[in-house]
Amino acid sequence: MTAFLEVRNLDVSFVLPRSISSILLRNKAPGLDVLQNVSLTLGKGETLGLVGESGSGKTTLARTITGLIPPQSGTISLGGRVVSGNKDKAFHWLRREISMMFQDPIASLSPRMRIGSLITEPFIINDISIGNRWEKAEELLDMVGLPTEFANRYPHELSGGQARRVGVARALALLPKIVIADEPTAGLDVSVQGEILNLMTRLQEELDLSYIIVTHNLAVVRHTTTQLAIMYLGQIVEQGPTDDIFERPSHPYTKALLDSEPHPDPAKRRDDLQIKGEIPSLFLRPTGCDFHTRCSFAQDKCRAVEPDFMTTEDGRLLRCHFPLQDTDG
Amino acid sequence: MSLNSTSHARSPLRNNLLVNIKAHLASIWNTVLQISRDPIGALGLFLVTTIIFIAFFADFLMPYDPNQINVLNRLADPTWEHWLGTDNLGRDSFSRVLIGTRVAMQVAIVSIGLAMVGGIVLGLISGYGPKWLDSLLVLIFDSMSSLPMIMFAMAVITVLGPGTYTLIIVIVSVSIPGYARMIRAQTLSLKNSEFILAERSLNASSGRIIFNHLLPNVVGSLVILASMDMPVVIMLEAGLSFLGLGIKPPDASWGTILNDGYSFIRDSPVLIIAGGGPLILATLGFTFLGESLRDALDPKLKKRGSK
Repeated sequence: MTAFLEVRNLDVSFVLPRSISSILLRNKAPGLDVLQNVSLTLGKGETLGLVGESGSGKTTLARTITGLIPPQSGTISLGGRVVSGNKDKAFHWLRREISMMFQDPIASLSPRMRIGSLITEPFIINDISIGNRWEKAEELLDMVGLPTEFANRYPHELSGGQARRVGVARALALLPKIVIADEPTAGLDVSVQGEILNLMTRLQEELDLSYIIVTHNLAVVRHTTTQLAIMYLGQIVEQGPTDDIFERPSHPYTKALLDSEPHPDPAKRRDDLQIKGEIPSLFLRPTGCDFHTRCSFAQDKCRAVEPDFMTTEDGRLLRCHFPLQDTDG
Repeated sequence: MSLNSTSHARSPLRNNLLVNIKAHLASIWNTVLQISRDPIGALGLFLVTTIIFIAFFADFLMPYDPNQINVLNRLADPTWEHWLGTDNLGRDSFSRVLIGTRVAMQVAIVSIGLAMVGGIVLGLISGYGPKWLDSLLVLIFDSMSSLPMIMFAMAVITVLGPGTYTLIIVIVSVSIPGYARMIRAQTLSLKNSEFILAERSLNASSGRIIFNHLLPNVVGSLVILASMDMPVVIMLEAGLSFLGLGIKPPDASWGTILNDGYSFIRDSPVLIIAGGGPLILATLGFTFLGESLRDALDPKLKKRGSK
């Protein structure tokens, strides 16, 4: 796999409000480390799934890649070109190549604008002449399978699935190379979920796109992605080809996550590796391995030493001292 | 919606602007209809329309020159010639009330208009701009609203001298914080919403986000606030003029008429009614209209079902 998008050692921390005494004493502002040392690669034409439970930093990572949240350190590069600095301007060229689809299909459309204006807005913003704006709008609506009359409607007049299609049209208007879709199927019923995923797959082939799909829907991940990255508490704990990971999860967290998916066959249901408790607070990051507080295999080393990334024989990236060997148990 | 249902009908978007204007006019007309169905709203609408009509056409409606002094016929009771009698200088009270209506409307509309513009600008800057500027502006708003209004007005008038412009300056500066705070609160809640993030992810500039995306979403509630603010401003104008801090005497204003009536209440009670009546009617009219407008525009506050 040749890396097209490469994210290296990304750190994001949110600055917490300081007390007056800490300002007077010139203490450093306390930070909340939301992403810690995240590295990610995406090959051209690939689809990467980003999974993890709520609060694991999936959405933050997606937003950081496009510069909506400034990273503290780390590099992002696309096709060999590196984003320099963390100023908003530095990300302008990157945002032309990477577009975002946001979680809430309706709330991510400006409520007082007509669909026709919304989907042609990317051209206006980026100073790209498109001739007749409305013809372009109709063309884009056609591409995502919406009737052209929709150009005259307002976002609140659309259903979730229709708004999602508008989101797709908006994301693809500038013909980006990568689309980051944040929960593309959230809030849609199953048949519409299928339609949206089929639409995305069709457009991937037509427009030669790479996708990063942020989701916690494992069924979606299994069927649409080629690569999988599992996040836990702001770190990526395992990354590798989707099929491999589903077949042989190496990180205990991955295994627990995959096992939590309901299985249609009751006889196959396993509950030997249930995950305990809640995801720890970012304010009180555990020492050592972040996952040791909930891991059934935790040992003394896990509580003391933070595991580093290692590459397994089959090319998987893993952050665990004691990866699972035989996954049948 | 299936993938194949794409229709190729030509969209009516080509005359989009016309459609837009028509839609807006229709929605305004609908709001007016809805207000007139509510008895309180209908009364408010009637009073406000009458007042605005008088303010516009005062010149044609006045039977006499409002500043024409006739000392031989001072403090006269109402007659067919002088519908509301005459004041202490023999000026026709009815003409003075009419011209006073114009003064009241001018001051109110100009100051509320300016306060709205100022409130929108400062509110957007405060809500979307840098944090230090926000803190500074909020501090200014808070100190402005903590000043007793009359004291503040007297201070400004002492410096600038009484007059219509001073009056407008006073009213605008005491109203801006209210509008600005409201716009700021809405901007703050919108600026981290997904659609603003989506605009940023498309490289939209701050100017575009503020004018094309924040502004249209924050002004709606301002209209209601402004209509509710009209009676307050009318009262303020009359009050300051009554105290001799607003409209300068020979010019007529409801406040100056009231002041004359107050001084000569033992000689003619008509004068105080001439000044106070329109003030009460205007205040009631705008309050009723404002409340009815709020109900019509904000379905969440609708109380019609419980009536």
